[in-house]
Amino acid sequence: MTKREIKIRSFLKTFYSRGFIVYASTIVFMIFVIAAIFAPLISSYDPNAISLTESLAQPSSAHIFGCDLHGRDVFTRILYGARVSLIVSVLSCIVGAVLGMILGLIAGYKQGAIGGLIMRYVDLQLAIPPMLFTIIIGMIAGHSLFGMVFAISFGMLPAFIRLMYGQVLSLKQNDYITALKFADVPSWKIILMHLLPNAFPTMLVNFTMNLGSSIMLESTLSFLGIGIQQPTASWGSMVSDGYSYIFLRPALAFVPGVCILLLVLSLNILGDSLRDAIDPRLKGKL
Amino acid sequence: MEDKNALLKVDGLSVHFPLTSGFTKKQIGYVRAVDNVSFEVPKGKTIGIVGESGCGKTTTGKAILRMVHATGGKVYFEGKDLLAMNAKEHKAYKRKLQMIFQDPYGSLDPRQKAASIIKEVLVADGDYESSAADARVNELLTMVGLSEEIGERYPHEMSGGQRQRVGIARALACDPELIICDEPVSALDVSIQAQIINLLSHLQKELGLSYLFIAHDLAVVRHIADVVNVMYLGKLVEIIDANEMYSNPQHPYTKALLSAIPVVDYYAEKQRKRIQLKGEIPSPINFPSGCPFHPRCPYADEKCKKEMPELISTGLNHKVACHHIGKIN
Repeated sequence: MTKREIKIRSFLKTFYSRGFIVYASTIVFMIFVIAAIFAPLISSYDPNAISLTESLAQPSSAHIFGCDLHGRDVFTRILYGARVSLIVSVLSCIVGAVLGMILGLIAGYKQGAIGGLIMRYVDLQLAIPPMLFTIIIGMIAGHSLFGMVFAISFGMLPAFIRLMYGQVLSLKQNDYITALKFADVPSWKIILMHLLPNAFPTMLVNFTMNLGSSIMLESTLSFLGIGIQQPTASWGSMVSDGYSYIFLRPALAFVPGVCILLLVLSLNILGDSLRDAIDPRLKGKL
Repeated sequence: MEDKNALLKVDGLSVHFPLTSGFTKKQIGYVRAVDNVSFEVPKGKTIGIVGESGCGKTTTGKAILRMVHATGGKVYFEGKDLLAMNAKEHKAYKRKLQMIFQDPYGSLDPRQKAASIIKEVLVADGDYESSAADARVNELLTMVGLSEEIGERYPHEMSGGQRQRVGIARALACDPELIICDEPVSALDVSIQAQIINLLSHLQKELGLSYLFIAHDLAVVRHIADVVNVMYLGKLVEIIDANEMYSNPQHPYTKALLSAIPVVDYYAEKQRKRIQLKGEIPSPINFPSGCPFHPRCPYADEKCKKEMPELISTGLNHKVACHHIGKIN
């Protein structure tokens, strides 16, 4: 076995050390990813094709979750909705995390006037209720996919900046950083090679946790009608459309709701496991 | 000690931290962490600094390295004042003064292998090419008594002693002339302590290093140091030759410290005269008037309460700050 193989093996061992729940989460997450990528191959229906004759059709072999008010196949819309959810959440988390980490690093390492300015801005944004903030930005940015990404990533920025800032402040106190300064190692090296990698596990957990909550946020916005515009399928708007018929056709609201639940839950569990596997101090202890 | 041999000369070093209160940050006083401390470190020698927790030992070391801002005094290194330099001038001297840290856990990056820790410091000044640096890293590892395989280990895979050796190798990677050892053995087992101390003495002989050895363990300091500075509440109270420390201590505080060392032999232990100090070390915020030691000193009189005693030379390599020199035994 080469060193690399040993490394991968020990990574996987720690990653799956929580047992069944992690395997289940991986499978759930993979199912959604595959569903989103291969949506046109899995279902032959058009997600937006209206067929009034099949309005509110009962679940059957042709439509496993039935049809909505406009006669669109719910199963197909779930598949295409997964695309929207995953793209919006992953993109907005990446944007939020990268920007937040950069600003947090600058604020934490330099402190002083620039750091003060960044952190006061964070306080300012945190003073506005986050949901309200995201709704306002979402309305300004428009009902497109990128408008959503912008609104959600902007909304989660303070959390990333604060977390990174705190991490940098505490890591900076370590003697190994002091030793590097004594040895005249340049600041950018200290930041990129030491502060960033050591803050990374915490940031990664926050990232995956936020993946879940940004899916929630996207769904909420769509539920409220501010998100992706109709007729594009989104789980949030599907719940919103379906809940008027909750007793007549429970599947219309429940299926997308359960999808949101499963995806968010699996992402949170995977995030925790990833943290365990990445931290060398925990190696072999779990 | 002559000026000419002094590698490092600390002259009247003071570190006062301001105490502020309220929104306007009004200064209501200051903490005298280090107050008017002067001593010298001759080339190739070891100077120990001992004292209780919080007496300013570590702050002295950090002020010399410009890690905390010194509010007064001068630090001459090879005749040049380090504290008066701007950042650019200081750069040339930075790597000549290194530090070994107390905590072997916090002083190594947990995500870096030992070899990479040393190599990073080694290549920082751009003198080494990558392949030459690898060879030098192995050389340094051997020098501190570690095998080359240890270079492939992460800090959490090493013992405390091994970690401290990596810390020493990292300090050596800069080719320093002076190493400030900030309690380098106090976090280690006694058996490991001896190994690290012996390693440090060995390296000193081989490389001609000078050490400023900060510790609170008198036995350790006496073993490695040539001259011992005894510190109390931010001030030096006695500078004494290490060989004389047990036989001829003059300051009542030094005497009290020495009398607190337990003796292994049962009968000797029974005969041992202990000087028990009353009370706590005073706060460096409410600095006592006169001699800082007078509230706890068994010999204190009116003069001690009013006048701050100066460090007076009482013999070769021996200075004492006490009004009662020679009167007490």
